[in-house]
Amino acid sequence: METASSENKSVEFMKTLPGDDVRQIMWRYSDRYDLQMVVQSARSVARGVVARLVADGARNTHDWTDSKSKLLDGFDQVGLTQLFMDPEDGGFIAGPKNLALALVAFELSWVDGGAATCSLASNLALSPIHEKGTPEQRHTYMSRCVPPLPGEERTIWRGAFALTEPLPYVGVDTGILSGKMRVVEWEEGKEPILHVEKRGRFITNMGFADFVTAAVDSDDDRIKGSAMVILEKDDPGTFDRGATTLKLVHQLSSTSDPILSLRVPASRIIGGYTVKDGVIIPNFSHGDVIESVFRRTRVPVAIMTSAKLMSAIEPVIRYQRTRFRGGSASTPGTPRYEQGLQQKDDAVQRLVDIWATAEAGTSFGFAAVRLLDEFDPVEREKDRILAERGISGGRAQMKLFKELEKGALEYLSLQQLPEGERDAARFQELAGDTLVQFLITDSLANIYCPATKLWNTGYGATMMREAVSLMGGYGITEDCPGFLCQKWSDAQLEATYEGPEAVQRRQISITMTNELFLAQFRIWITELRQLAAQRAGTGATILANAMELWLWTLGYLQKSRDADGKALYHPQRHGAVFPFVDSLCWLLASREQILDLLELAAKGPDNPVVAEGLEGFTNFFSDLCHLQAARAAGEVVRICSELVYGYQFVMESSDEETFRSLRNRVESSFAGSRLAKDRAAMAVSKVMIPEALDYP
Amino acid sequence: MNGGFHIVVCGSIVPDPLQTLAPVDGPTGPALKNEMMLPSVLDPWAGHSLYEAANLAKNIPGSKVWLVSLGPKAKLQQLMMSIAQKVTFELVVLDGPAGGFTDSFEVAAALAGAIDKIPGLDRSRLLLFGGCASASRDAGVTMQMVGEQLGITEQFLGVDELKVQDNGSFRILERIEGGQYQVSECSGAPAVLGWATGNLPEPPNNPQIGMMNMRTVMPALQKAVPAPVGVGGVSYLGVELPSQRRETRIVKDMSADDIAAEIVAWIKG
Amino acid sequence: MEKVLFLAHTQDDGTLPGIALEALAAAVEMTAKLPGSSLVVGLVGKDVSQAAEAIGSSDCAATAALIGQSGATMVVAPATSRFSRSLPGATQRLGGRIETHVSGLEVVDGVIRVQRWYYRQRMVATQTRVQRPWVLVIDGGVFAPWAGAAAAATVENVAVSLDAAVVRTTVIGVQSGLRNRPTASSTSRMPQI
Repeated sequence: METASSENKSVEFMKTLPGDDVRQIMWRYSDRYDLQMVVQSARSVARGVVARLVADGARNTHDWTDSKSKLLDGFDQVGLTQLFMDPEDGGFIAGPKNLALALVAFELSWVDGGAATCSLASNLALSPIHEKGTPEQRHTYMSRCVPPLPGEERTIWRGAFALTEPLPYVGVDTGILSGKMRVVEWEEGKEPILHVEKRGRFITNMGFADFVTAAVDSDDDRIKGSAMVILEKDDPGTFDRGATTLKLVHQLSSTSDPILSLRVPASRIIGGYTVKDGVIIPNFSHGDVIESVFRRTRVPVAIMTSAKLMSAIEPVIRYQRTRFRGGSASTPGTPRYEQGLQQKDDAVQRLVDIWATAEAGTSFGFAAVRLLDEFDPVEREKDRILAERGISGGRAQMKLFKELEKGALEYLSLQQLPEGERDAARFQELAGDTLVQFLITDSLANIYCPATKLWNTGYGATMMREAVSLMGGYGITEDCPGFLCQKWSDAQLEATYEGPEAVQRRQISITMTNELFLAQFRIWITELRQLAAQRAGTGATILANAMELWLWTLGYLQKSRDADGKALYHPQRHGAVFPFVDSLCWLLASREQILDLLELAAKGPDNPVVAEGLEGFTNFFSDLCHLQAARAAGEVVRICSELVYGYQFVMESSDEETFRSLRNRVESSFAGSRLAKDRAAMAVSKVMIPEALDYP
Repeated sequence: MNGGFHIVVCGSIVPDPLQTLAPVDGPTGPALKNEMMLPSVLDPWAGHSLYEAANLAKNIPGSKVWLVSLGPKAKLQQLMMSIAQKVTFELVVLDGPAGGFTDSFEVAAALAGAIDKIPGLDRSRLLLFGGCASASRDAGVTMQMVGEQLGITEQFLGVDELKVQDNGSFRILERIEGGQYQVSECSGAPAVLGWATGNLPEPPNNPQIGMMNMRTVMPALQKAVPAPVGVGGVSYLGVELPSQRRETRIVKDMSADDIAAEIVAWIKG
Repeated sequence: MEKVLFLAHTQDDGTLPGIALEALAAAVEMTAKLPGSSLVVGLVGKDVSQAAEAIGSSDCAATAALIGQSGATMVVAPATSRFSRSLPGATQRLGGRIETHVSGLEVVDGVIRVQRWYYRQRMVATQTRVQRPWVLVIDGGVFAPWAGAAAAATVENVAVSLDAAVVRTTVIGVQSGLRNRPTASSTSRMPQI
């Protein structure tokens, strides 16, 4: 049992708030100096320009103002603008950049979510070109968006991304697009000229964009399907930036509803086109493009909300401790003066909940971007192999993948065997098979990306409210240190950006039944049990038990019908499926939090700075993992119980017995988890914090 | 200017000024509570001297900048993630304590020794830069001592401006009493300049510069020379935080005019 | 038994600056509390600075010569910009040690204790040291200016030979303009000069 040893744990408390050295280990970039520098750069802008803008009230207008445009200068100056680009296009980081972009989002959002959105939106505009654009398109637009070098006379181009239609997986027809394109001129042997008509809604960066990557559908028999096209501000026609969106949040990003009616050459179709029988066939439909784009860009948004939770901790501690200082409220030396509100259990216990959520969210989000960094080259290689084999079209691809799934499952089971016991040759063969590895990574990315977006922003917004409440009336004023109220309201938009919550739930409800994912999920349960045996007090047992319960419930829901004989697990039965999706997210976030703790415990001793306070940190993070695992498991038990019992009047006794026993196992493993919370709260009341916040 | 200057900047870390600083007894003398774990920044006055050095090097062809830092190398590495993005320099690392309670005499000896060993350093072209004082020991003596050990007699303290003239001589503004500058002319290198703020803003981070510097910064950190400087012959009898004094009088029944009159009387003494 | 040297430089009008009188008070008080100790006064005069017009290197040489010839074990000097610039180098030349920004001085059981601030006046230390000569540069406003009665003094000139060829710096003059300058980022005070 974890509890026995956790009771005996020596109480070495965390001495200071975790610094960069600790986070670099936990989020796995301690050997990436390029990323460490990016973090410093982003932080300098965030706590400089961005913080001053917020403090000066720049958020009090919806319009894109001159003072807000200083943000862009700030981004340009410290290299954030070209972060997205590859070195050959003027960037400075080679290879995948998901983790880099996420770290920037984290730092900017630490101060203001809108500033982070502003930074991310430029990348979002370039993403379709980056992912699917022709080499010429990539080169043209990437190099225009890079800040000029010294001596170079050039204005930086900025982009906006215009979709404004339902996203895939939303459960409605994704083929309906507001944008249309027609051929208006097509001289023999020349490039066709298109007329593109697009009305966007809620388009970020539109106040200053020089080009727009827009999703449009064909309105002409001579164009097949849909595409994304690049529209420039000087193209002939109307490039109307439209009315400013009167949003109450994220005012440091420019948002409006543009009206675009422009003539452009067909070469602006992203990814190019072919002509067959007099019909223009775009190489990529808008769906192909955005699927590839959104998979990546959703995750930094998730990290934004978690960053804000994390940023709330220091101001809340300071507020709590100094609450009764000054005037005649208390005298120095008394507990009331020294500890303030932290004398009371509730203040610190609630803060610990916020902190644990922030840890779980960031661990989850950063795990997702690391996965994407792994996934990027594998996906490109997969595309190359499929093209080489002449496999195109969804059906042919699906057929191939179905066959390969067996190999992928075999690989996963071989991976579990000790080296001596497995067929080494077969294992090596499968390990080297790009398509097999693609399927495995893909099955995870299809869960992790929507799940972290859903959980971090949704539950994060709720916990951000809690952070505001811990500041009392101060919390909802403009003067509140750390801009907590703005961060809370901003979180609501983050839950909506890049697909509202229903979109994420819908996607997960489909992808979580993928056998490849479930096979990995089972492996994780085994690993968590092994981990619990090696290291007590992390909550790994609770989590493993809750995952078992979740797995059983999935099987039960899939096979069962309700009292009216209707299937329980049906994609359209959102009442059953969506809550179940939510419960999965809790588990995944909690697991990643534990894995980051293990990383810190393993690598911390190698860094002399971290080593000094390591025990205090690992104790505290372990306690946070423990209480978060219990919190997550509690959600899973509640949701599973409602779903298992709630749809019928009488349940088959054998099922009920199994469910009860699994549930009981989860609940009894809670032993000690509240003691962990008490310890964590004690640590929060003792930790040394800076004397003042490092931004206005 | 004949071949440019060889500018050696001495500068290290100090705790981020926003951090809570509390003295504790360490094994070798006073130290700061959780010193190793406190986030650090480049010592501000030394920072200004580094930016001035880089600017000077940029404007005078053939010049080169070294940054000689004495501090725990893990913490210097962290600092480099920010500073190495700002200006171009070559790093020389002395792995030792950076706290304020070390003896300036020992620190100066370690720095002078390290500067003496810099390969390719032309002492006849040497400008030794640093802050006019550190934000830790705040003594304002180390640069002069390093200069003395290196045999550099031309020394300037509280420098805000260095203008190199066509003949290679330079004109220097030093802060003196009464809010004034002392204006001096020096015929040329070598010289020691302990900088005040100078005239340049902090350069923004530039990742391209950072990536370029990293090629030499990381090897420099790896071959850091241990420099176990200590308190020297100093015995610390006590280090304490100043006790907070709050002389508040709560007055409830007094008119604004009376309050103002009392404040004016108090100001006039 | 210490031999205390009070070190000062004159102003343009030949008088001592107020801060020097404060440091003198410190030196007198310290000497009085150290039984058997003696106090000598070293003045870097107007002539010296005028002759060389090179107060950087010449001050260093002059003070080093004064300290060396006096055989002082303790040196007390005011925190003027000239001394702040020159005394550290002079101390180094003599193999001595120096404490600047001294904000308190006391003698307890025959031991000289110095008080000075660290980390930008965020903590204050009381310290002593064994090495000699030990130079103490006293901050302004710490001691009340010395106000003893004037008395006749024996004056001994210490000649400082400066090779004109070695002197490479010339003081041109003084210009205003320091006010309203920014202090170093996040700095709580100007350099103490």
